[in-house]
Amino acid sequence: MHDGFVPGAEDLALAHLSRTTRRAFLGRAAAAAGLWVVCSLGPTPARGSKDGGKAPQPPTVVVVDLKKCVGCRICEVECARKNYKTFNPRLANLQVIHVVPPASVPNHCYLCKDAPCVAECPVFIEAATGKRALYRDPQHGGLKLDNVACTGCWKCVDVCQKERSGILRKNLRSKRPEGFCTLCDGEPSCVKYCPNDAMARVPQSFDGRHLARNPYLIADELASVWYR
Amino acid sequence: MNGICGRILEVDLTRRKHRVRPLEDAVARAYLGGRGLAGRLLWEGSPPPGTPALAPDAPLVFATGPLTGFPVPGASRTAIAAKSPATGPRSGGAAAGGLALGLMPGHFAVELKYAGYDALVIRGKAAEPVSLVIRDEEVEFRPSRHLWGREVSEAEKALRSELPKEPFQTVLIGPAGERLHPLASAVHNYPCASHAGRGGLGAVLGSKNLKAVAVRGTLHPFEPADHKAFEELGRRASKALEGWNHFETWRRWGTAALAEGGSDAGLLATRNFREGTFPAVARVGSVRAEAAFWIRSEACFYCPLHCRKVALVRNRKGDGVAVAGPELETSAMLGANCGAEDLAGVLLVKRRCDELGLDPASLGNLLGFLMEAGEKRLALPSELGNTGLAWGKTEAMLAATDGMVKGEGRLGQLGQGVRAAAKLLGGGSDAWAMEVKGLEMDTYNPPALPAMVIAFGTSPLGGAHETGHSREVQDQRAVSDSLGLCRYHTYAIGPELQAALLQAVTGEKRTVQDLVAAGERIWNLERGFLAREGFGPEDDRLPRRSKADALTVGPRAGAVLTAAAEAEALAGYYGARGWDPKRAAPLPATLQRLGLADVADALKAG
Repeated sequence: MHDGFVPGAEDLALAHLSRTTRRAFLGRAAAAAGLWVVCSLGPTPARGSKDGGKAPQPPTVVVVDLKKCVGCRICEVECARKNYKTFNPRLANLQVIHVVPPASVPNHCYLCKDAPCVAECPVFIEAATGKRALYRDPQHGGLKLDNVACTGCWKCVDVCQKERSGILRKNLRSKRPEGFCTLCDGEPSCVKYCPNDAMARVPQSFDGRHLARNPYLIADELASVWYR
Repeated sequence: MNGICGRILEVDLTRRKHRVRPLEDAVARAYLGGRGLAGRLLWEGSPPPGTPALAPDAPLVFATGPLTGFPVPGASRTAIAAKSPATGPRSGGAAAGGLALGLMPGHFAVELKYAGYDALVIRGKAAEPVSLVIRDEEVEFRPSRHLWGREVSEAEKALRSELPKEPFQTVLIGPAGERLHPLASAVHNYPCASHAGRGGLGAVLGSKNLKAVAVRGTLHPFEPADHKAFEELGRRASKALEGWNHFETWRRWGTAALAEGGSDAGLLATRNFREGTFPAVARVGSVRAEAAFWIRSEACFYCPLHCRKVALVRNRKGDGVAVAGPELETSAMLGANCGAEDLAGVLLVKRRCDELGLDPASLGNLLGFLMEAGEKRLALPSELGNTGLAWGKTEAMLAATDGMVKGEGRLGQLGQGVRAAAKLLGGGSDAWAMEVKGLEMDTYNPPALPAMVIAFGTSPLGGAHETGHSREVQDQRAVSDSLGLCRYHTYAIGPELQAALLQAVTGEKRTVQDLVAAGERIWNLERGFLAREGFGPEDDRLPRRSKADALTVGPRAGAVLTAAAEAEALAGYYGARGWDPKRAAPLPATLQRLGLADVADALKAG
């Protein structure tokens, strides 16, 4: 910002969208942060880095164009295939909700900027950086869980179900939470395999509470508006 | 064997008990799954012939295929089978019935398989209306008196509000099924009102006091035998589908594209099968539907085709109504066959079918028949409930549909299917009662395409167009239906790829010849079922109109079948199949060759 610049309303609102939270990005290199500001304010979405994923990528999230989604669940299957090496989509980090009259909503983890799930995690694994058992992968920005340190207290699941999309679930067999978006180490399978381009990876801008809404509420709302 | 769960869930509604029994590998090998498995379980589990289709003992089978649930595009069909309450041999007793078979697209089969079951066999009759709720190992009989009488989407909403907020998949019946209407279907609402329609399956659910089945599966571990080979083959199947020359056509216009195509080829059932070309097809076809009505698409499990289209129409009050369709069957049977050009009206009739749980194809045939009867003054306006039923009158079609399902008065009697209506009206109307084995013919009109003699004549369902028009195609479709594959995908995913996929999933060597043999076995078993019920060669004949009234318009004007050509085609077919032409049933040697000795014994005894 040069001298004498007085920000207008648009500048403040845009700055808010590109604002990071202290918690989420502690330790991020200044250069990377600069790159991220440029990318997230620019008109083109960041589509993943071209340098083989070495440099830290600007934070991105997967979003859905619900008008294009046809509810085929290819994203579910591909997520399970990539992240869990299985074909059973019920283990996937995504879950497609269908309602009548027809609307399909893929519910997934929006990697909320303010990450209430991370904030609720009571297990610190690195005192110096404040890293917890549930943490953001500095390389790709996805969420990762330290399965050994996690105690299965379900605080992350509870807060997600109460305040956000509710995609985090209790896996009662492994006693660990599941459903976090990993961004598939930089190349989200759901985006890659969606046959209708309904899913896209875009720069993180909105707070999670705008994006990660209860899918049943979204679906009912769509159905009531589309078929009015 | 990998790829299958090896478990069959048996539910007894009378005693409110359930048990799981194993599915032997040998049965899965011989019948594959899906349609084949359903047919086998029905054959074994049926009470003696002569027991009515709606008797409590009669089994109702839901079956999944070995490819179901795996990421193979199109592996999404649920086979639902029962003895049909709607069909029967011409000379048979009232209790005889053919096969009711629905291959329902959507997400139901996948969920059933994830819950750990290859098949669900339902028997008995609940003392009061129930819904069956299956969540993995848990089976709940949920009292549903409050859902009884409600239309499909309302009942589904009420049921879901009582279940945990999870992606359950459901099949429901509407008022038509509850009233045991022979045209009743079972409806699965995801992706969008798919019917397990033909042969009165909805009435079978209704006779068991079963309003709904809801399934949710989470637990089943799910691995193909050869992970690496499957990865490669699954991707190859997806690529093959994308390379199909009609891929984009199918995505954009769905099955309804065949309405314009069929009419232009002179094949589309028009005005109670009087013609093969509908001059106003553009008014009810896919291009107009896409431009004026469709607002989005919905897809079955793991399918990039999303051929199920959702239309937005306004009802009389001006409220928006979401309607699934038109599909080919809607455009053909509720449109062309009823002479209707008003697509919005046609869609509202389709919507009544979705809500009442009524087979739209059979309904369109029946309405067309009654319109012709009215035109010929064989049915008086008062007999048609004073609805004003006449060619193209969609408002009257709506009123008549409601009247037929309510079942009151003369219209209620005429509404029990085309064969019953022709019997009531007399006056030679059986000549243009377009049914085979008692099931209303649908969609295509045979005169322009003699092979339809085989398709309509020999289908185990009766007058259904889609089971195949030659021995080879019939066997191929029996295979793909049994693997759980959608028929449209078989245009791209051929027998070689199907065999390779099955081998990768099950880990057992399977060749194309194996699959063809399985298809032949399934087809002969189904014919054995019909023969045991007393169907004979006269039941394979098309109604007289196909052989008497030459088409008068369109590219095939003048086309007509002859009785001699029909007899010749059927004789050739029986010979190629190894069937006895006098009984239209498999010869003992044919059954022995296919490993169907028990069918041979049953037919000998009969």
